Amino acid sequence: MGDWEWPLILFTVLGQIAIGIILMLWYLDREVDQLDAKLFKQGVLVSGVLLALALLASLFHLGHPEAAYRSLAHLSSSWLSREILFFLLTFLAWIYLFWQSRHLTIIRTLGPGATPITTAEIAAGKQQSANHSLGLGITSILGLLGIASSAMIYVLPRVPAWNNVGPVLFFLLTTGLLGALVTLVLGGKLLQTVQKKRLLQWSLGCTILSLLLYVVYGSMLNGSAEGTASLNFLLNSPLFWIRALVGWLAPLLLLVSILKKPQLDKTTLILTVTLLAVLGEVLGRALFYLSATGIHITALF
Amino acid sequence: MKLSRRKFLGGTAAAVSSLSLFSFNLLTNSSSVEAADPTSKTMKTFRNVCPRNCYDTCGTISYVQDGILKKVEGDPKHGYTNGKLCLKGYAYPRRIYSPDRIKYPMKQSPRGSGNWTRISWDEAMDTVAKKILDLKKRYGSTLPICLDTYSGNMGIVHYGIQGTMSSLGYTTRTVGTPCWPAGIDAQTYDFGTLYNNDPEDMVNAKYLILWGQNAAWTAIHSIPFINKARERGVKLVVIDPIVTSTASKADLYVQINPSTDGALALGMARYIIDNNWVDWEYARANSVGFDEWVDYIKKSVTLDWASEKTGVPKDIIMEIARDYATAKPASMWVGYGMQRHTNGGQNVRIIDALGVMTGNVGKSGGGVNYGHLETWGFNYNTMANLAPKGSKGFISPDGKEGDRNININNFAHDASAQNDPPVKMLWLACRNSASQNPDTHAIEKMFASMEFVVTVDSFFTKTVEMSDLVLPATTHFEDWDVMASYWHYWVGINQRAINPLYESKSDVEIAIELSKKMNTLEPGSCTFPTSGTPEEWLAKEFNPAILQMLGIKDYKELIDGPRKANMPSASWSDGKFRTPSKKIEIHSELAEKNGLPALPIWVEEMKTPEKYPIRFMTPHPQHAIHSQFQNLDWMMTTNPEPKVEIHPVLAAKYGINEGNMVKVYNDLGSITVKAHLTRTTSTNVIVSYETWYKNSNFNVNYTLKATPSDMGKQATGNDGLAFHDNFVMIEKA
Amino acid sequence: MTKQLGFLHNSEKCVGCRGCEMACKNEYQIEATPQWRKVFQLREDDFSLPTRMFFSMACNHCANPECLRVCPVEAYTKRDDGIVIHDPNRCIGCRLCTMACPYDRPQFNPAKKKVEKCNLCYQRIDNGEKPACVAACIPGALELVEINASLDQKTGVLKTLPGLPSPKITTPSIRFIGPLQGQQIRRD
Repeated sequence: MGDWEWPLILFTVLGQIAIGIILMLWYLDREVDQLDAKLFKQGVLVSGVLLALALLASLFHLGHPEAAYRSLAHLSSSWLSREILFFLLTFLAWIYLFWQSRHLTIIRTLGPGATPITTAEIAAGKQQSANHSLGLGITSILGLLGIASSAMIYVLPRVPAWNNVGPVLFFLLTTGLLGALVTLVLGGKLLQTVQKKRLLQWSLGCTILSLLLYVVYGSMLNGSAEGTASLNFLLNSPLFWIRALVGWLAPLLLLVSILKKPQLDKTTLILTVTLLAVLGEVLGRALFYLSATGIHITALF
Repeated sequence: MKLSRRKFLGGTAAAVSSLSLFSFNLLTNSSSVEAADPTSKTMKTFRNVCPRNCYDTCGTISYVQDGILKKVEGDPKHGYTNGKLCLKGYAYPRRIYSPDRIKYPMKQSPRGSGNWTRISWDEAMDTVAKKILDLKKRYGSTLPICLDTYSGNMGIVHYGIQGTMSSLGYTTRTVGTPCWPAGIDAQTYDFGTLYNNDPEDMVNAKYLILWGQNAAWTAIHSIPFINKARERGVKLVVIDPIVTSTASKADLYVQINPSTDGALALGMARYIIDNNWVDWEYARANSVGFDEWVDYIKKSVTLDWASEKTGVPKDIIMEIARDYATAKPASMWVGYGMQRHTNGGQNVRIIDALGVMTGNVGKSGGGVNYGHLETWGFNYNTMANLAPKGSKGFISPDGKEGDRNININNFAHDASAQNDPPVKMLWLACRNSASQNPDTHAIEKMFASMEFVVTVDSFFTKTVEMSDLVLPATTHFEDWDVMASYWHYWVGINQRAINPLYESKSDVEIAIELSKKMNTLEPGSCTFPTSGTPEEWLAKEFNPAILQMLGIKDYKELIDGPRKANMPSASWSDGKFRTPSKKIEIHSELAEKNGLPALPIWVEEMKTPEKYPIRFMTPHPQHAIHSQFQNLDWMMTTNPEPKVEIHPVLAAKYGINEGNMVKVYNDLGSITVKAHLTRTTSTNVIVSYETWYKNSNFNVNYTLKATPSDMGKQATGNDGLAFHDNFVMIEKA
Repeated sequence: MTKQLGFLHNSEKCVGCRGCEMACKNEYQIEATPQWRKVFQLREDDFSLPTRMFFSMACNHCANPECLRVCPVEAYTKRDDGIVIHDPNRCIGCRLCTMACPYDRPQFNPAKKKVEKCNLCYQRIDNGEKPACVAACIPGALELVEINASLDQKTGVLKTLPGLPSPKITTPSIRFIGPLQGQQIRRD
């Protein structure tokens, strides 16, 4: 059985939220006419802070954090090297986004009350919009590649519970679910009803998919002795049942009720769902590490 | 305290940087693991000999660079240990530099509190000397001082411990040996003394019986000689109640009922007589009482009886008897475990007689091999101190004045039972009484009743925990000494490879310090010499006879390599037995005089008590020599906790599963230990290996009664201990 | 790679004395926790008779070393003679190799915060000496061998023992001679 890997749990979950936010901003930006600039600015900032925290957390996993830069050395076969590369590229792309969001803000604050908006400025604004769509897109793709690489680290022949498509799907679903929910919380009134609805539907979809996937995954685990050990660990762990309740069942019910009853006070409910889902994913990630059983030497002593 | 986000981030960054600043690798040499380079010009080598109470007494080479022991290796010039060491031997650097070593003289107040304070050697010696003088004044003699020493370091110079006491006057002494005296007496009655064939001679055997001997754990260097014989097709038979690591390798393993080894040997003898495989010529020419014994067997022993008694099927007894008697020569190695019974010595005598009957004694490739002391003829100069003038001693029944001897195997009882004068102070060196004596509760009580307890040791053992004062002992790497083996024929010198660490001193150096202090406080109160370097003390141990035996002119030649005693490979090959009759005494009048059967006839084993139906065997451990080594971190990693081996059938009876904690108890006390279910033991025997684990109260001797074995008095002063006649009950804890 | 060095462990001869395990520690003065080499006792129930049987295992210098594949800092290299060397100077202690090795042989040293493992005493081998463990083996159960087809064709040479991970994962460079059980006269 594995250990309680706080640095890795924080790194992966925070990193996935960070990239999820960017992904959602990109999605909103493409799908609907206009992404609110304030939301863009806030989203980019929060995403960056989370990303930085994630990278910082990852250092605590290392015996020698001061030498972390060396982890780029083995791109030819190490997914960890690739992960770090993609995360660094993501961070570079984020810096560009951040610069862009600051720039945009300056224009906006100067805008009202001053000179009327000219066609040239409108054209420039549109140009800007297209630009941040590109920036969001690049950051999202790099981030998703980073997350996929993170997941590929755990695809180890030695660990049957991980040696499958599971880790990649889990990590991507965390990105989708928490990215959407955190964006909902950040967006609040800045989001259009349609946007809100889409994000809620997306969250619900991710939750359902996550649950279904877990059932399939669980039934797959029985294929090996170590997989069975992982499964038994999960089913016997109270944490798993808390995770199921907090991370799947509660969000599922709440999301359905929010979507069904538009008259409900959404702000508090969305915040509740988000907190529950974050807790669920953190527990889920902890269990991911805890339940990992490697193929090992079985001897008396 | 509220933390702003900025502060939080800043704090985290600081934490990260301080983490790396103070990470271990920056403080130590981070170039990581590099082997000591033996070819380096600054590397010096020294010859050392492992001084532990062990068959193998290995020759070792110490690699020392800048005064630091970098690693140890086996000495390739040692013909028996052949340049290889056991796991304990390789752990020496870790032992020498263990952070747990006792570094300075320390006092504990009150005793047992764990409240230790460092004191100077001067204060330590002053405290001890004043206590000795005080007791002497109060009781008119030094008899209230009791020495308990045994086998913590078997180097010859370490007999200075006894010498320390002698130089103070007449004292109370624990006499005897816990380990092997019943077998010693058995061989003393039969042959005049114990004297085994050269173990390297096992290669010449055509049939090999290891009788209660687990060489894989206790004499690993014998394995290649046994294997060499086996490569020629020689059959290895192991007779043992436990499927040991050695037994696991046997061609034939016989799980005998404990304590019935004599019955098996008698059954074999009966079959040998019936088939006339007896070497009448050898037996009649070299022994007395042989025919008398044959008559006894014919009258009283049947194969059915032997089979019933031992639990060994008749056809197997017949098979071993035939193979042993007809393979010429056939070798037997009698382990110390099998004589730790109330009939243990007698069983060894029967096995001796079996060897005589088949003409295997005195033959290369043969022998009834138990041990020897042939190479131990040193001067024991450190012991040779006369009591100070006017010392009052104990008057023994024969009118001689001297030390008052008590039984080492009943230490708790005997030390408490002395009245005239009582024992008031204990001096312990090379001995962990609290761990190794029977009836630990009684030992604890006896210690508590003392006015003063001084222990010389390298580690905070259980005995040290019950002492007022501890004096830091050097390890053998820090001393000059010479070591002989009680099994092989090699003798080696032990050089001082490194300077004594911290403030540690050897037993002789401690004696010198004590003598100085005693004579300052009361001139003439101690006769121990106050001068001499460690090497000078060593030099005084050699005499012409031992030098000649080793084929050298000066002890310094041993620095070039250990030497093998110039002795024939087969013991007793000259036929000069050392009994009163100068022959093998199958009929021993000496034994009879000591209240034992004159003949090697069957003596009933101890019966299992109804209340405690399970035999609790506590043989020697693999990772330790008694209470030495297991406490080291290397050993604690590879063998982290004690276990009790229980047969699954027995375990099921008490609802015990693998890994459960089990309470093992009897009237004396109990221990709680983790169960390991294994069929390597039998359904009425549980096994746990005696030793001292770090930070653990595990001690098998809480349940061990001081039951004497049948022999030992004749040669060692006291009977042995029937360690393996210990009966208990178990329950799930 | 011109050849593949590895170990041949003879469980028929091994008495589980653990001399190899401690000789390894002695040679490099390894901290308590990383156990470069470890002696394992085989499960009793895998064999017809209850005996104490052992095998000794360090890094297996696999043909397909997972440690090497996953390591982000290229601390692992494979020499021309097949020895997989871990360079502690490069190691940053990410412990991914400890997750990837089915034999648990690279181990984290908490004092140095880096991983360590057996480098097959390559310095000794380069000097024409035996590895410390092999040199220390009293019954001669542990040998340094070249892993090749002719070794695998010898009778009695096994690629695995009961209780060991499938050699398919990493193609370990270790071969075994299985334990031999004699006749037992038992009381149960």
